[in-house]
Amino acid sequence: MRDGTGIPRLFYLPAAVAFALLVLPIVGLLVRADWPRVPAAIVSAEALSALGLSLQTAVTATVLCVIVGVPLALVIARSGPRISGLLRALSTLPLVMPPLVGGIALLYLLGRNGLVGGVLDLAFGIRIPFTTAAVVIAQSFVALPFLVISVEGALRTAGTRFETVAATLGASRWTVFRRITLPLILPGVVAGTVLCFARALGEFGATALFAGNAAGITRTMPLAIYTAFNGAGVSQDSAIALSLLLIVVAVVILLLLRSWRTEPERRP
Amino acid sequence: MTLIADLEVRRGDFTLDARIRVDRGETLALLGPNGSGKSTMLAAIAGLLTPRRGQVDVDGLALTRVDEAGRSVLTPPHRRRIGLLGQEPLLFPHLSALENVAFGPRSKGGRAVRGAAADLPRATAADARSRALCWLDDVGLSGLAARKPAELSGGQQQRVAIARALAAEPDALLLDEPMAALDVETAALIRSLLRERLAAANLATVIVTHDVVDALVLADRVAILDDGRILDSGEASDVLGRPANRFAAALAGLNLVEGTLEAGGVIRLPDGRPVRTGDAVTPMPDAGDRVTAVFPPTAVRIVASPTVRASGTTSSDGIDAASPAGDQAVPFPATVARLEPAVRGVRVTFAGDDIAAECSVAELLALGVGEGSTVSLSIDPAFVTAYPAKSPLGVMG
Repeated sequence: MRDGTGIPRLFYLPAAVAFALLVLPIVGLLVRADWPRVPAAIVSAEALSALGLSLQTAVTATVLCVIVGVPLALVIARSGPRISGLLRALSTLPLVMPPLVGGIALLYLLGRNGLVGGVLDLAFGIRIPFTTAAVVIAQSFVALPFLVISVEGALRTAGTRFETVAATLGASRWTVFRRITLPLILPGVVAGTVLCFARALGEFGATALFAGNAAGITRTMPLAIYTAFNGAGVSQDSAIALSLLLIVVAVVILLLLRSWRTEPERRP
Repeated sequence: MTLIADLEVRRGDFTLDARIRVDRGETLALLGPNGSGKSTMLAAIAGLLTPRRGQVDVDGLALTRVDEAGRSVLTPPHRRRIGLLGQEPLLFPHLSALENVAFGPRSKGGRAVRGAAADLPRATAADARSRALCWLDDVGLSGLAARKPAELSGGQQQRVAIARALAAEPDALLLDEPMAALDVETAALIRSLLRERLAAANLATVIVTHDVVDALVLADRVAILDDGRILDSGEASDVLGRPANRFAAALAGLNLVEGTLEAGGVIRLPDGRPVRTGDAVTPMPDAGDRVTAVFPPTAVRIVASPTVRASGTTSSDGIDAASPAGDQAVPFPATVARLEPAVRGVRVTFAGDDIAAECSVAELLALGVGEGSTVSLSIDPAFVTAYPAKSPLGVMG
């Protein structure tokens, strides 16, 4: 034990409160669960359909976020202070915005009478709201800022000095990105991707408003849990079972991330 | 193969306006105090910043050309074939020593090709590795090829950085204080290694430094940059042996004064003080022309003033010290400002005066002077060298 350099003892009390606040609700859930009926609830057709849709949409949304989010993070990190400040503030707006508001905003942008949605409907006959695509868009909207923030932070930490050296060694911008920038920010990209995926998986508010709650089409796990909990013909036990399933999925992902991170980069 | 850079860069109040020329196989040391614009010059040559006006040519090919009308040529850094090696090795942390060195050869495909280099195909991964191993061997590190940068010492990292810079086979190499972050012994080793490698590589090299040893060991020619302008340039023996400005004199460890030459070898400083020189001034300047005089700090003799000596405990040594040069040197009063450690004892600086003196600890103790003491100084004419003041604008190339 270290002595003299530790934290003030006073902090242990609020730390315990914080920990309890984070962990006790889950304990409550575990205690309340009707364990004998959990397996049946989890493998029910409805639950499996919701889980499948959730994984499918969350993965799609995460892939989309990585494809567009990493370049956005690069633009923000490498712009001048004024532009990057503005871009960062606007890009992280969904973080501080209630997801429900996001859902309404998406509806007014992409709905049949919306700014873009109207054009899409008239010109191509494409209607986005209340489709699986709408779920992916809503999830991307709320999850993208997590990826951008994480990657941008990694880019700032990495700095541009290695990139400059690489350029003087004759590497083109693309080569520099591929062989220097990307490997240096990879931990940030992975952490951002996991956060992004977790946020997409748990997304409820924007999805409910923009995509609705149609079983098999837009009813993801959170919506299925909400539906079950409100007692639309199903018991609350089913909601608890589905919640447990979602927690297990999240924990597995966290563990995967941990094992990836603790394994040092030792590729030959 | 010649590198010519003629650049004007503005940053706030600071203006860099300098021209240098370096031939293949030649090394130019750009010496200057902090903030003189040395690193800015290198950044502009490497294409990392756009000058307000000017040009960078390698072998007649324009890499940068900017005039009042705007930029007409601005080759990106990766197509310039100009290497850069800084104070910090900046090895790519995720790559092994070998992969770091192989980075240049593998990236070559994207380079502007010229002359013989046009025939070189982009190296395959295996080829780049085998070449990188040769370069690592040249810096004595082939045994550590598989190590990550974090597993190498500072000196080893800088060796790898040298190998990496040379492996990219640049036309010109820019060194920005490459030894500044190393301890004295390692710096000496790296310096000799650089000298050997630069001789073998046959490049146009510019080394920026404020260490005179770098210039003496590595450079064929020396240029003094101060406040964005080149004050003097030429052979090291000329620029540092007969310094034209205080910075060059300080690098050479000399005091420098300027004044007009009067009869009897007396140089009259602007403040009216006379400094005598024992040698004839060569070449003889016209009457009234400004001359520069340099003398080592050890030629400045400190004599305690009687008022100070009243409290002193010293023996007759102090009195003797006043007389030897007294027949020719003209003593003048000064107030001791600071005592600093020097190689052979103590360096003494004086309030409101640029002249520094150096004496042994024993001499200082015998004099009984400390910071704030009033003393009188005399400069031994036998050690004063004078020459006509050089024109402030160094002409190169």
